[in-house]
Amino acid sequence: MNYRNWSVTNSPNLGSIVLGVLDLLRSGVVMIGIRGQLYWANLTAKEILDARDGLEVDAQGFLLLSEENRPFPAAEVLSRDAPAASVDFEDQSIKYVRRPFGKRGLTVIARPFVSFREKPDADKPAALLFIQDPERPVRVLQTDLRQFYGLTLTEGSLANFLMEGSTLEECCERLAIRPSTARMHLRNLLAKTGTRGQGELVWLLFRNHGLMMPTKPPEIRHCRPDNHRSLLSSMNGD
Amino acid sequence: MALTHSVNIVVPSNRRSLSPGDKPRTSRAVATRDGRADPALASQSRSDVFRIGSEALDCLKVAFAVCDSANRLVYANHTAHSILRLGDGIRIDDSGRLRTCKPSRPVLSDVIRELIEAKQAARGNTATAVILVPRPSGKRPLIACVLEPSSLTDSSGSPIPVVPITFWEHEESSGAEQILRYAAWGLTPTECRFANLLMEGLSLVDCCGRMRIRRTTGAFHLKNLFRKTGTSRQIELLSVLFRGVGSRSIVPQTSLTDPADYSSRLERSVCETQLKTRSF
Repeated sequence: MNYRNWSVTNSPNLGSIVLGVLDLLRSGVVMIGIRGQLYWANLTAKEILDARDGLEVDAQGFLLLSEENRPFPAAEVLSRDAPAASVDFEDQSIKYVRRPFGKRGLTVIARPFVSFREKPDADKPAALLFIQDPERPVRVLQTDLRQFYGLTLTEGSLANFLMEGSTLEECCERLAIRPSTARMHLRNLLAKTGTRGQGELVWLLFRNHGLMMPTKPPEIRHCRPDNHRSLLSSMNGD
Repeated sequence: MALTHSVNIVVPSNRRSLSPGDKPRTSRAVATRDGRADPALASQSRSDVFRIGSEALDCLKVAFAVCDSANRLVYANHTAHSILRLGDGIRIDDSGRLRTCKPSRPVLSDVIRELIEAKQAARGNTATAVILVPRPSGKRPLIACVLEPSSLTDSSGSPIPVVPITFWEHEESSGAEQILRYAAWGLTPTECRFANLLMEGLSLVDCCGRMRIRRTTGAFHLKNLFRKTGTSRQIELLSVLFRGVGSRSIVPQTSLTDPADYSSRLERSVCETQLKTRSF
């Protein structure tokens, strides 16, 4: 594991560059302690937690399961003999988190930190959680689509609608264009991306843009912008 | 340029490196992206922050590297190292610089230089740049994104401009099978395998071929997948699957738990890179 430290001895702020990259991910990334205390959350995770639909953070800065209103069972999820709801594979466990309002649940992949596995400490970050929210809209920024494939605005919107699972007819309605026009746009879209059909197009878009947003979206809305900050600082106090 | 030397100075040896149990050296606040200090992580030392952050990056099937203005590699995550080691598209040359095997469009080093210059001149918003990197093996080109330049501080406190670069390939397994198993829909193991192949971009016929099942059986699985995910078309299914389990897998990197295999090799390569850089 030595290589992990080699550059940090030299450049102390490499860590913040790394965290900055994690902020570009569309998956939620959360770092928690074994008692469920929140250490860090990336932008996507903050949005998921702010929605308080499935997972949330309580006033003491601990991760909660919204539906059951009980702490996130960090120790349970990370333990070797995980219950039926989650499974260990290669030190990693997956938990399905239900949501109170009938939306599809969150898939949470938990992975203990190497340092924690070697030397468990209740007051150190214990695990990484990757949170996948199936209800989160996938929207590729027009600037990215232009930069990657040279798409026009209409082609870009069409690509986004197709990624959401809309049919071409629904796209026509949403874009207020005729089917023949939509077919023309689709043809150009396929030519520009070098794909052979809607299926391959959607696959390519997800593969290229599903995980990372290379460009930060112009504005990131938080329901309660100061929520986590205050939580984190209150936590730091105790 | 003098500053390029200061990026890679410390050659890791087993003794010198920090073990996880070491006392944090500094507990200064770590500036987050928006410039404010993050109080929770501030209690951790900077090397701890880097270590756990890079563990997160190592779980991703997207390569991530940091280069200085002379293309020298400062940091690379697990996937980046495996792509670089393969040398099919992007590789590290003898002087420890990131190089494309064939000329890319636009040229990688030009882009890095331009972005850093633009950042230093503070000319408006320095956008990211996308580069298509052709691969000698004839596979689909790698896509590389040069992200917004940043700077590292060396031991003397002077800033070194660096650029984060992310790149990825298409021909990699989606690895979502096990995650699908525990996702919302209650899929059977066979359905998970089938869905995973669909997510790898295979057509229905190819999926059946890979799984050695008849087309009718494949159609049966597909029908059940539609029913369980509440979809009616293959594209819609794909969209729901990708959104449900992530489009690029977050996978167990077995080699991370097995330092003997990967790390030692990696460490050697990093050491070599650094030694070469130093002697340069």
